[in-house]
Amino acid sequence: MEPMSLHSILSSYGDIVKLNYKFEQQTIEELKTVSDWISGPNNKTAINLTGPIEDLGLDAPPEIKHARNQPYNNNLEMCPSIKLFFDKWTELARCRAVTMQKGSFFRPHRDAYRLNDQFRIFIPLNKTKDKDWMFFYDGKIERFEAGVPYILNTRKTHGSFAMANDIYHIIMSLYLNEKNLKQIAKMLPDCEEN
Amino acid sequence: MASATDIHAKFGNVIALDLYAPLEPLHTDLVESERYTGMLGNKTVYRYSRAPDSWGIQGKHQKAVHVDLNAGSFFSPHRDFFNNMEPKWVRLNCFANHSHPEECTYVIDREIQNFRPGQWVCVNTSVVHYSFCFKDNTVHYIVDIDVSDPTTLDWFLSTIEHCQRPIGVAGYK
Repeated sequence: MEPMSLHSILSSYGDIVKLNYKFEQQTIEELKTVSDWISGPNNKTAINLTGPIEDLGLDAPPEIKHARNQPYNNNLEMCPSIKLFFDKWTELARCRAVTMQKGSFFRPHRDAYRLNDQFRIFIPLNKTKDKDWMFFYDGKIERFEAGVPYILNTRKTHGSFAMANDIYHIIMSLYLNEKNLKQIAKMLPDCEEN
Repeated sequence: MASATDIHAKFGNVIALDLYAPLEPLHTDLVESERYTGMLGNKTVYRYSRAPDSWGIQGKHQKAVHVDLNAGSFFSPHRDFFNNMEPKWVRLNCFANHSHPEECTYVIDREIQNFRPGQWVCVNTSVVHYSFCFKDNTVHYIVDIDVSDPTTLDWFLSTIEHCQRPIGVAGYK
C-alpha cells in the first residue's frame, strides 16, 4: 500500500484515538531510575528512548531527527514496561520521555507538517486532571486518561501546559507502514466485529 | 436589583464590551499591594486603590488589579463568587496585549477564548476558568463592578457590544 493510502486509513480513525493499552505507575518508577535527564526549553526535561542518548536532537537536521529504525538505547533498556510496548511497533523514529513541572509548557505548534510519512503516539503517564495539566488541540481543550496511549494527529495545532510538578509523558514518532497500521487496528477499542 | 446571576443568564458567560483600555505601565501611585512576586512560573498581581481613569470604568467598582504575566505564568482552574447565588459584583477582564490564545490561553467552561487586545469583557467567573501564558510581558487588567447600583448598571449595559442600535438607519441588522 502507498503511504498516503495508509494515512487516509489512519486519519479515518480520528485525530485523537485511544488505544486499548494501559501503563501502570511502575513505568514512572522505571523512568525515575534514568539519571541523565536533559534540560529542554520552557522548564521541561527529556530523555531519548531511541537514538542517541547524549543529545535530545531538538534542532538536529530532519534526516537525523526523523531517521527510520532508530535503535533502542540504554534509557529504554532501563524501562522494560516501555520497551514491551515499543516492541509492538516497527520503524521507530525519535521517541522520548518528557517531564513537565509547574509552569512548563509546549507552545502551540504542529509536527510532521511536511509530507513525512510518520505518526505519533502520545502517552500521558500521570496527572491528566484539569488542575494539573491542560492539553489543547485544534482550538479545544482535550482530556486524556493517565497511562493510556493515544494516536495523535500532531499535524493539527496542539500544545500543553503544566500546573503541577512531576508530570511524565512518552512521545513516540513512528513511520506509517502496514504493520504499524495493523497494530493500531488491533488496539482500537470498540472494534469487535460481529 | 440586578445581580451577576441575572447579567450572565441574560447575556452569557462572556460578554464583550465596547470599551477598550490601552496597554500601559503599572500605575505605581495606585498600588495598594502585590502578590505572587518573584515566584517561578507565576504572575504578579498588583491591587490598585481604584481603577485608573485610562481604563474607562465608570460607577462603583472594587478590586482593580493589574496583572503581569510571563511565559509559564498561569491561573489554575477555579471558580469565584461561588458562595453567593446572587452576587452584586460582576468581573471585567481586559487582556491589554498578547490576547490571542497562542500567546496567552484563557479558558472558561472548557472553551478557549480569543479576545481582542485591549477590549474589556465581562466574564462569569462562577464558572470554572483559568489561563496560561506563553509570552513574556503579558498584561491583564481586572476589576469588579457593582451591578446592584443603578447608575453603574446603566453604564455597564450601555457598553455591551452590539446593543447600540443606530437611530434612523433601516436594515442595520
